[in-house]
This record gives sequence, C-alpha cells and structure tokens, in this order.
Amino acid sequence: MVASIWRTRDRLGRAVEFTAEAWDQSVLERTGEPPTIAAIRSAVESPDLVTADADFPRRECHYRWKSTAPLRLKVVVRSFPLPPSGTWVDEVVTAYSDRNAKPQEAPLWP
Amino acid sequence: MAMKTLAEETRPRWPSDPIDPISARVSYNPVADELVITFDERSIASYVEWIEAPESSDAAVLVAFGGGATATAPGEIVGVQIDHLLERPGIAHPTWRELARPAPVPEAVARLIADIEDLFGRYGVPVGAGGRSRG
Repeated sequence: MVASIWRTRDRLGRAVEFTAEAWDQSVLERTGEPPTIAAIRSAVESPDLVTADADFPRRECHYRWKSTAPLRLKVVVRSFPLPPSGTWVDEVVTAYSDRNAKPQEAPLWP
Repeated sequence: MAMKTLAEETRPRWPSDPIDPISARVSYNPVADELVITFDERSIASYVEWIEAPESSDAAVLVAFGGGATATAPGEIVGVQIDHLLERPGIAHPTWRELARPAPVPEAVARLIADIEDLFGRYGVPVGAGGRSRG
C-alpha cells in the first residue's frame, strides 16, 4: 500500500493522486530547489498548458508557469488500470522545472 | 509551442572542470523510467533542457538557473536526465541500462555522461530565435 500525499481533480474532473513514492523518487531525489507539494497540486488542478506526452498515449504533461520565467513546472500524470479490478487511476509520476516542451508533445489544453 | 530566448550569459554550457563520476549522484525512478544524474552533491537549483538530437528526444541536461545556496553561475550544466531509460535509449545504448541498477559502477556513470556531453556538443539545446546553444 503506497501512502497518498494528496488526491485532487484535474481540469476534466478526473481523480489524480500524488503518492509518497512519487515524491521520494521523482522530486526529492533532485537536488536544488525541488517543487513543493502544493505547487505540484496546483499544476494538476489549474494548469496553464496540458500536452499529450511525447511517448506514452496515456500520459499527460501539466505545465504551470513559474515566477522565475521562462521556466515552468512540468508534472507528468499517467493513467493505468489498477489490478485486480482494472479500474483506471491517474497518478503523478514525475515533476520538475523545464523551459521547452519536447517537440513531439501535442497541445491538449487550452 | 513558443520558445523563449535566453541571455547569452545564461545559455547552457558544459562545465569546464572535469566531472568526477565517483562524486556524481545517480537516481533512477522506475515508475517514470527516468534517470537523473547530478555531477556532485551540491544543492543547485536547475531546470531540464532537452537536447535537440534528431535520433532521440530522451536526453536532457540539467541547467543551473542561479537559485539556491550555490555559487554556480546560471547556465552551467550540473547534471543530465534520460527519459524512458529502459524502454528506448537503453536499447540503443545498452551500457546505459546499468544505471537503472542500485549503486552503478563509476565507469558506467562516466560513459553515460560522456555520451551526453557528445550529444550536447553536436546538437545543443534550443535557445529560441538566436539558434542553438552548444558545448
């Protein structure tokens, strides 16, 4: 059982979870100034831009501009069927600052 | 998507000092299949910038942006990131796959860093209308 840090809704009303595992493996492992738990949640709830992941059809990239422009916070959310029921769930898999999306990412919103 | 330009002094540049793989911090996230290597243990605020290599969009450099308690100049590359390590780049570069294991040997770390330095030197990263920034 993975501990949940928060659960929220994305722009389409889908439930998204951020787990302690994701926090430990994707955020805390980065040195410097990692994004805060609240900032990651804000990017999922109120993104400035959402793109389809360049590589995985069931992943979306949520971007939120930072005060340190031109940098943005990128939060990657994946959808997957949770065994044994097969219920689809959405969870954050990584979060970091970047400046340019990968060229293959297709805009989904706005 | 619009790209914003960077001032010349903050354009990404490879560090002039040699990188000691023993001092590098290696982190592999199995859920995201994401590898992050920072060149040393300093706490340096950085952002991810993807290398414009035509054969792969999975390699990036970590670029210092001047925040945090560090004397590192903005624009200095302080680490590297590989997306989908085992799924894709690890197939083209089998030696990289070792970095997904706990406590990889320094030789493997050095090899991957050298490969990314080569990619960065050949293709650079986007800097907007002014062209690319290379090592």
